[in-house]
Amino acid sequence: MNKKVKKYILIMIPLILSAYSHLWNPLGFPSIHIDEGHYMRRAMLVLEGMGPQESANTGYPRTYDHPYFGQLFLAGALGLLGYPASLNPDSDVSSIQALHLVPRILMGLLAVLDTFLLFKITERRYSRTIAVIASVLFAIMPITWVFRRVSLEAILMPFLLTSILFALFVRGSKNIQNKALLNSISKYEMSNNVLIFLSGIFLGLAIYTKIPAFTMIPLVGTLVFFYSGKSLKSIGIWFIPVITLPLLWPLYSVLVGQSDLWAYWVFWQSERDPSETITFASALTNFFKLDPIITILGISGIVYSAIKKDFLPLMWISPVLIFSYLIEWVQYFHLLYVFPAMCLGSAILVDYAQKIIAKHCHPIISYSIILSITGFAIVITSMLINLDVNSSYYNVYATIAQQIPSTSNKVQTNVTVIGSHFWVWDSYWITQYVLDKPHYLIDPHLDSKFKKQVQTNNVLFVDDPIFLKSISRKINSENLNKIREIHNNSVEIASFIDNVTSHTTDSYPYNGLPIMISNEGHPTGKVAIRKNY
Amino acid sequence: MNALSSIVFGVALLGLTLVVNGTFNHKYDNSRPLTQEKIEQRPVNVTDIMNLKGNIISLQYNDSSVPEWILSGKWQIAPKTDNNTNTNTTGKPEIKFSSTITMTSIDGTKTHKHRLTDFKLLNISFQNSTAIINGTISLVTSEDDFGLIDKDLENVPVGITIMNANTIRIDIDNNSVKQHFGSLPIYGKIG
Repeated sequence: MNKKVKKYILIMIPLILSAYSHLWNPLGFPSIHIDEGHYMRRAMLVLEGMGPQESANTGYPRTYDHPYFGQLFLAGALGLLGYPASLNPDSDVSSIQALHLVPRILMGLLAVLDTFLLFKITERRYSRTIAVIASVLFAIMPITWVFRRVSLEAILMPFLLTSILFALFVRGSKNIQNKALLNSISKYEMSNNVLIFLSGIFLGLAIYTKIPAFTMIPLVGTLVFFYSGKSLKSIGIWFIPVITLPLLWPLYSVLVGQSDLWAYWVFWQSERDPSETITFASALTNFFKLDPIITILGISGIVYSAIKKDFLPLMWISPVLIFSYLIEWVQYFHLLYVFPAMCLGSAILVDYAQKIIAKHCHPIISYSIILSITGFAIVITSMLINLDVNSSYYNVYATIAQQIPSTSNKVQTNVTVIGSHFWVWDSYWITQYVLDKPHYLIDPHLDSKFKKQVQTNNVLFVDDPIFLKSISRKINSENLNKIREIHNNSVEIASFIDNVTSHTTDSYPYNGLPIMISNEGHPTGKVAIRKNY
Repeated sequence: MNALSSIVFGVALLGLTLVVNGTFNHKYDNSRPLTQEKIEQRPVNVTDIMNLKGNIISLQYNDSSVPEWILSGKWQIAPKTDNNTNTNTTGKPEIKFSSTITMTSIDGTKTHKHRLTDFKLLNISFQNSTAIINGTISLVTSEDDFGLIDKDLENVPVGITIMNANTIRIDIDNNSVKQHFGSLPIYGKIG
């Protein structure tokens, strides 16, 4: 077979697998995470010309929790598609689904890009065989479904991987194992300084998306240092965008006179108390439960690499794990940074095992390891991504949207939505910004003592078990008494059973479905929509 | 720098310009009353402290600063009439404060109870998120502590401080109660 054709086939295998695992049934699986609503709301604000920072007065109360590139990127990409106007949005279920579909397809495409970038990184640093294995694992291992959600980790991942890739293309060192690739002369070669600067820009953008990405500074910085021939000047060039881009965030707060808010919410975010279910240990446990094979293989491979004095995979995971241990408030999806390194470590180990088998048996047999793992992963991933866990979600969402009247000129409607934290905020971005139905809301999670008064005559309740518990608490609040009174006089207009975890069983992979909604306050069971108007 | 490097560098700079432009070039809404309240705490008034109630959660130390008594119980601030902000002819709000305090020795061998009743308001003031109420109370003591303190003490000066509508400090005049509650105030929580 022609070498060029073989090369394209080898890269197409992981890309096709990745396209399947990340773009198939994006509406059905996984469940819509509450953070997706937050990031989409902020992207909508950018699209409306209101910038990346929510108002401290009318927006989500936790103002300065993350930097801005996440919403800028989302808004930029969606805006290029004419989103949301190009969908002719309405309050019906199909419209609500379409509005969720586009950003999820975007995230799926980013994950396919991640697969390609990991292939190129591994090919550059190691070999094409290891690159195929690593990128196939990234494409199809079960935990890769986390990249299907609109999350900051998924948005920053291609920028992080691109930063690593550019660092690996710096030429000034003999410290590359695959000499053939290092020595290959390409007409597309770029100058070292540009590569270094680009690496810095992409890492800076990753950190400007979410601050914990700074834990990748040791990895990429070390690569730049050694690949540039231990040049401190190169490190200096690289470091400028790495530091200055994230500094736009505090700079913004200073310019708008809200540096105190910035400091307050940054410290709040970094000092969030771990609960029984949100700890570093539980995050690791959940990661393992969601994908035991990649965890075991990945750790084994990283240890094996370190023994072989290749510290790249270890350097990739160590800072983020140490940071997570120190910060304590960690969830499984915060550990996505380590997933590519796990795939890389696994690939190095599998490649080693393949070589040993090939020595003693027929070479074809040596491929049995990766084929078995891939086959198993395809089955497990297919079992997950073919689920429909969101159908009731879209029905509840559409019902809420239909019950809020439209207004002209963005005049506030005479409706207050009261429900659990999950529903009042998750249903906000479409009703408020896409359908132009601005309304008030009361969130018992952020206003636990019900200090906020109902300001409208019309109230729409989203009754779910979490909300019903919150209004049944013994609280000395006139506002709560009023809410209870309105609630008692309201009429149920629709009810649904949220089926988000109904497929849960004791066996893998369905035993991981409760983890999918863990710690986000996603109410399950009956969700009733009531109104008093 | 070759041609490709120049082009890529130019595109990168353009991208950076877009990011900076997206960050800063937009309509601004810098209003912030809600969040500012949370940080600096909003000023309180009579309405905010009316109908508050909660638990007494405090320790009393001996002269060697060793915990000696555990104080627990309930407290409540309520209007004297149905109207929350009703004021009397002197312009002072008509509020009543009452509390029950159970004192249990650290070793668990001794227990006695107090009731703080018949509150008479002298003055009330507000400093940002703190309410300071001064008045007098009657202290009624029950069970086996009569040797240490009179069973009924009237017109005992008391200072009540409500902080951020979240915590309470009760300062009972030490001389009137023969240092019965030690040198530190009694603390409690709202809700």
